[in-house]
Amino acid sequence: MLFNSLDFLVFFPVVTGLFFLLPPNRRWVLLLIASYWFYMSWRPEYALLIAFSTLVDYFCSYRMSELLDKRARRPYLWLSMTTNLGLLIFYKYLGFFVASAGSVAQAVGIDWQAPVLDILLPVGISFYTFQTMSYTIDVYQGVVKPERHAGIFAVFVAFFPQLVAGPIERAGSLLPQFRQVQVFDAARVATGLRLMAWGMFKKVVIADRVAVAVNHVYGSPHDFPGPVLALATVLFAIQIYCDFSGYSDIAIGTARVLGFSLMLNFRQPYHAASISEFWKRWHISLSTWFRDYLYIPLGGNRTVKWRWYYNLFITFLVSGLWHGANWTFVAWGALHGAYLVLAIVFAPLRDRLAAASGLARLPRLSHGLNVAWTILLVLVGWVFFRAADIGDAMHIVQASFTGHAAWLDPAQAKAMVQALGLGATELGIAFAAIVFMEAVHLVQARWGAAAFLACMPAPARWAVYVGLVGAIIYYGAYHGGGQFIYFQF
Amino acid sequence: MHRLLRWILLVALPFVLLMGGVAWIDPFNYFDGPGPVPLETRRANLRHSGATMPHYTLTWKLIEYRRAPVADIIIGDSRLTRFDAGLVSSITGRPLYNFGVPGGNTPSMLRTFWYADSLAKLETVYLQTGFRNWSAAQDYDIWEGPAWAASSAVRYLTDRDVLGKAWLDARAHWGGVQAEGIADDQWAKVISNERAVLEQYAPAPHFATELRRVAERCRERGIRLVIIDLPVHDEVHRMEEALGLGAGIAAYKELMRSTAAYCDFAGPSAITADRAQYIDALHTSKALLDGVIREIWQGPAVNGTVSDGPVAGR
Repeated sequence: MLFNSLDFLVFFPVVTGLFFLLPPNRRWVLLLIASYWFYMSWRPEYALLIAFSTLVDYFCSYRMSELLDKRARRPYLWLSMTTNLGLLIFYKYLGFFVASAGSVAQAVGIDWQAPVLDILLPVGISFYTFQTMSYTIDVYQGVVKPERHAGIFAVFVAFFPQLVAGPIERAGSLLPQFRQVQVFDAARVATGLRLMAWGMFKKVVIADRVAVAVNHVYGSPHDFPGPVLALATVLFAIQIYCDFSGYSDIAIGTARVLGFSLMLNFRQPYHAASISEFWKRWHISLSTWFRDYLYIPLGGNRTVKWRWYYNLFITFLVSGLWHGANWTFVAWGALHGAYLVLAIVFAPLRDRLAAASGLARLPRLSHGLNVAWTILLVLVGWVFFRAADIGDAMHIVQASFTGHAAWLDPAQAKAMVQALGLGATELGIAFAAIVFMEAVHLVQARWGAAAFLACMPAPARWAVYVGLVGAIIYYGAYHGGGQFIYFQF
Repeated sequence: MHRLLRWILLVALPFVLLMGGVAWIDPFNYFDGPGPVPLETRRANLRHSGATMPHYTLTWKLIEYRRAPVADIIIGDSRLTRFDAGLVSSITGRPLYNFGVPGGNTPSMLRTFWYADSLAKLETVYLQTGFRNWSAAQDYDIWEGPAWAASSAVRYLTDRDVLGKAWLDARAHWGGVQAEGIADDQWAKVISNERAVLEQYAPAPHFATELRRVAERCRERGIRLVIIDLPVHDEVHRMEEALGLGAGIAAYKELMRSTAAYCDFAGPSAITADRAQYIDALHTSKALLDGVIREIWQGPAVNGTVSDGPVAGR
């Protein structure tokens, strides 16, 4: 079920109403049924995978809790890891690995045709397997106590607000909340609904609208000149942010209405002044997952320099692969890993240059330049993330830096904007919505959105609410299917 | 709790009122009830301006056809605006639904076929088209919005274009707002636009693939597919010649001929020279179009060719 569907518009109020009507000790039953219903509306049989993963992890954590010796627990950790990673590899990566092996075989002259594996990727598998793996690892490490109640544990794995696209929650934060009594709090419900509306605005008004232009250009990148490719990449950066942060906002808002707190997943990532800071603001639940369960176990930065660089690079390479079974994602992860390593290597040189050029004495200008540079690097990365293959990505990156003098000619500039395939009205709506979003980001950064709204006169506040809902209803781009990008991961 | 409910109701109220207003005016006659704005006004407003005409007309027709599907349809572009389906019916003795949409292009026409095919057991499909429609530069979308709005009552009541049309209908009925009508410089505008269309001409093999899928479906279902190429003024032919599009036109005509029965009135003839017979270079007067209808459906075809003789006779 999609958050931006009519089904959810009925589903959510019904679940919320029943949730607060039921006695607290029975609410987990409702959440479990609702979560599986939510998931099964996509493809019922794939709910069995969640159930299987839940059973194995419950069993493993239960057994681990009975064993004091860490070494004795290890087989259960391995069983859990093998099961979850096995599911992930089979459903997400097997086709890619087999096809890649076929390509390698052809390249070295072995006459072997790789079979085409038509395996449908279960929605959200990367998210819920990572969430349960973190739980099992935490139980193994003794960081969290295992959940003895199988029903509550099953809700933790399948909790519908964050089941298919995160945020990837930690057991220590989410599990105890299922044991707490969620009291109906009108103010909290209102903030949850506001957050849901804001997420929906970003998704349907901005992301789904600019997606038309991005799909048009990235569908046949060789047909467009460099400036159009560059513009499409900028639009993709906006699309993926609005799509994914929009989903996260709706997820967090949905959970908040029900009385649960989910972790923040985005914090204005395009305001970051370095790639390192970007990753502290982008998909925070995933980057902290990789930090805690891969980067630090590999040794983190408490090791010799080359090993530190290696740990960083490997972490981002795996993060790229997590996003999708395609070399473009691997390249995207490798690129970000390389950015981070190079930033560390060249940090002294950069500081010396800043001091010599006088930039160090102009912190605002220096910060602005760093933000612009970071955005440029991120944009190059997004090309690999979005392109159909490495060849297309290389072409787009190369072409994007050429032909920009054409912007100076109004006729050519107009033609290039028209080439995006969005009409003038649609472009105007997208532009206005993006400006509004940026204004909200500035308000959030300076005062906090809730505090700012509270200070507004009531009529202005109501105008904002009505305007937001009106924009979602009447200015949402609903014709394209509205699938969330991160569902494919 | 009460405060929250009041908060939700207050936010929802303007939209409930707007949706109620749309349902009441019913700009595209979705609910087919007696609205405050007469049906003729709502229908006339489909052609209020060039900007809204394609979406409004297509939305209306998708809804209207779904309510009363018939087995014979004619699909096409703005050149069907003055097309008298009643005249064809009087010749064939069968009802014919006119799916002509201003701004209609090949993708929207072919999707209209699949739409009608999903609703009725089609028997005869007339596809009115022309060389200009078979250019890759004409691959734009006018389908998604109308199809979305027409697909369910909730979507209809919450669609921006439907709301805009309701507002237009209200202004036309209570405020006396008039449709824009045909501009004085219509001929020059159409010529200028047509020059741009022809200059941007690029072959569109994917259109041909889609047409073949339609033809295949027609063969499977025993549907008679007839392609109709209506006359245009010689000024357009002169432009085509000046731009060296002869080979492209020949390939296009060969594609049409090899796909279905083909009624070709698009070339220069006795009826393509007289400006008085045309609204503009692309659109014929009703009188001329009636004559072409008789030539196609009754014969003999004097100003064009009809493969296999008069359409009604087969």
